[in-house]
Amino acid sequence: MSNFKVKLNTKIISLLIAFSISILLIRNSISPEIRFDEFALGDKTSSYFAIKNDKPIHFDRLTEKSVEEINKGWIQRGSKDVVFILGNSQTHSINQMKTDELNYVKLLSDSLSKNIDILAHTFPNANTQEMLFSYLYFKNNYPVKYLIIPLFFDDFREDFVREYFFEYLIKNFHKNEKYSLIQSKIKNISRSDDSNAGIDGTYQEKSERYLNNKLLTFSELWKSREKMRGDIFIKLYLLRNSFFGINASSNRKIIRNVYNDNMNALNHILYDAKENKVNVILYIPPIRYDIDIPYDSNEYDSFKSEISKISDSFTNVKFFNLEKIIPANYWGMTESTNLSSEAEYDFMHFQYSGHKILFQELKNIIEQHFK
Amino acid sequence: MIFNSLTFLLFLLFFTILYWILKDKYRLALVFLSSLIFYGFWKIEFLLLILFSTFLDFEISKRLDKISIKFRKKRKFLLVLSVVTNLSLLIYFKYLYFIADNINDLFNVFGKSIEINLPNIILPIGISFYTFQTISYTVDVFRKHVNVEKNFILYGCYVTFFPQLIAGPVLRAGEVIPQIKNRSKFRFKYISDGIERILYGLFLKVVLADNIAPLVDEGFLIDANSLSGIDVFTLAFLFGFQIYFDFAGYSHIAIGCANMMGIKFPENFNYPYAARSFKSFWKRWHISLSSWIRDYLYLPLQGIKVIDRNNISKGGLNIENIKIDELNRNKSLFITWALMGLWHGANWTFIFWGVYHSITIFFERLFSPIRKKIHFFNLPIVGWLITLVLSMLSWIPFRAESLNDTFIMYSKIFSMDNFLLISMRENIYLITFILLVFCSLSFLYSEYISQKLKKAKSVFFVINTIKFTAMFYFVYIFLRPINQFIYFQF
Repeated sequence: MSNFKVKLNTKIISLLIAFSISILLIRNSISPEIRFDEFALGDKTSSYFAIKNDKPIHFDRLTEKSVEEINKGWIQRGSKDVVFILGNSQTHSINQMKTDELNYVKLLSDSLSKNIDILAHTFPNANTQEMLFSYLYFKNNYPVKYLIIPLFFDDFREDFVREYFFEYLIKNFHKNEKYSLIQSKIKNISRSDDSNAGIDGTYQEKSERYLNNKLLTFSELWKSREKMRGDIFIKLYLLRNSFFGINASSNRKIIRNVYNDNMNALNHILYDAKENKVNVILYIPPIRYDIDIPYDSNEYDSFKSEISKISDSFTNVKFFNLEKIIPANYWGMTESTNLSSEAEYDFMHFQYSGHKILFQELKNIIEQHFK
Repeated sequence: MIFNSLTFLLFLLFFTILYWILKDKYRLALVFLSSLIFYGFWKIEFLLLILFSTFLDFEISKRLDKISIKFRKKRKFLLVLSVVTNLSLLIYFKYLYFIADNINDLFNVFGKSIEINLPNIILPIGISFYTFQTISYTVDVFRKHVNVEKNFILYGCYVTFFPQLIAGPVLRAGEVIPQIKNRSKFRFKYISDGIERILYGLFLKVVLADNIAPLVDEGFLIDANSLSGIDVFTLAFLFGFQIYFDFAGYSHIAIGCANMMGIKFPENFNYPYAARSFKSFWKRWHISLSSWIRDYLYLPLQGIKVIDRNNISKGGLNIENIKIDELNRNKSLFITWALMGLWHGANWTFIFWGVYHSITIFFERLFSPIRKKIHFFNLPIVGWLITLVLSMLSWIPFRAESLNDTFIMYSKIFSMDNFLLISMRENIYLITFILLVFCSLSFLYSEYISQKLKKAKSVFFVINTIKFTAMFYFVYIFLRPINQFIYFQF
């Protein structure tokens, strides 16, 4: 009997101690919110989203509120024809940004604003499946005349439509939409805190929402859970990179299926643009070229020639290779992508001077080819 | 109500306190009522169905008990009435679409088409599990293996007892009713053991299974034609881990909840992926269902009479000693497994899954004498590897959208062209490998190291505390009802 008591107390004590330590750990592990997708930016690069007359012309998340603001701004500026720019963090990031520096979206908007409006939707690691989703929405709701898409070889490894960038569109997505590709890619990712899979419309959903909302109101600790989840994934990512010696310069191979899905999505965009008389500018974006690029050169070359071939088959599409337009000194370094503290080459994000060069190139292209 | 939710944890807290406070009569009412609330949180209208099924078997069993065994025909009629009614409900809710689709397909083969209009049928959650329980009760009363229960509330507690209501373990009346009827004397051990199991179950579900789920979905979304051999192996293993963590997690929570009331449920899992043979695999995976199928289907199909059982789902079976006819045995094996597959889901993929397992067991038996003679095949690692790979590959039909996809995926295993070409993110392969290592280490720890550590009490205490801390920490962060348990759909 005495043995029993000792055993019994041991487990309870162990559970109580564990519970207390875990609370302490949780309290100490609250960190500022960093989205996993944006983690790679590091603190050497800053995000810049252009605004005009207090209304956004450049955005990453399509929420109910942001969609409303975008629309208000467009009407306020005279409901003009639209040049719609899609892209990834290269567009909305400025390396070593100083006060009053702008990105090429803002520069284009200021210089082309007479008869045309600029709208840009860019988000980290944007894949063309997501771009198709975004394009369809803007084409259906705005008079899009020009579409500009930088095609990053990197992003052809990215898959799925991320809920947090497309909250508004996913909510209003109709199952009879033309592209089943998007539907299947959305279905798979709708697993946020708000999506109570399997209990929708039940009493449990109601009680769960009530309890969750109460806790979110009263407890900072509960509120921080999403951040902590993100933090765990970032730490695992860093650990993986350290273990396998992966850094920003490591070679990225293509993933055939994902690559094909993205190519299909690009084709869908181009077909739709042709049907709707939208002029398209496709370009291979600038990359730092004074050092070895992090791609398999054969794969990269074949990617570029494939894009070029696709473009040739559409009369409304112009293709440009802008990979070498930004000199090496306009690029910078990024924070370590593993557990070491060594800075790494940033192949994606350049400085303000780089944005000016890219702006000039794009402006010339629009003026020369699509007068 | 689903276990991985705040609502359930709160419900469990209040229920446990009341369970230990209330006197017997009220305590039974509490168990029954709470179980109905637990079920009603999903869809209140389906409470009528479960109550009907409960009442039907309660009444039939009472009548069965009253009739002397001399009136065999009358007793058989009542038994058949119970089984047919229960199975009819199951067929209506679970298999009607499947049957209609197959009739349509059959007509299409002959160039004709018919339109079968069916109402919109929602599958009542847990119906496959509670149907099996009510059937087994009536059969046990028929066989005189259990005493008939005359208290409807107590019998209702057995059928609807919330920890096992939705996805098992499939319990027998003889092992649960006496425990619910006679509450044990309160011990803190029950609470601490219960919390430990619930914590462990939640960890498996919300930290592991739910984070693997998107990767599995991502993989199975890819066109099967463009997968390579390595992709198919990876997806089979990854889904194998997901379903194991998901279902074992559920079973741990169910057992933990029962523990908190001083009730002992039979174990449902015992490191199935450590099995060195298929016979052993099925003694380690979903143990309560395997033993149910054996007692109520496999043995009766062979004409073997179950004489008595010692209230233990995993064994203790006393069967009639008759000479086994090999042909009859194999026929029963294939029929049982095909039905076991069908029980899991109304799709040919599940039937194929069942047949796949019957084939593995058939060949295991067939080659058993040869295997014993060849030393290489008796090496534990060889048996383990063969069983692990084949049991993981069996999950493909279980998860694939169609039989066509299943066959395409299997064909990729044998196609050496681009066998190693990867079609998914590198992380998926890496995570699958890490999970394999994690499971192997976990088994080795539990089987060999943990036993030795128990002797060094202070070390064991520290290790346990670290383990619990990690589990509390991760469960707190990841607890979200974002995914149902996979077995809820069965």
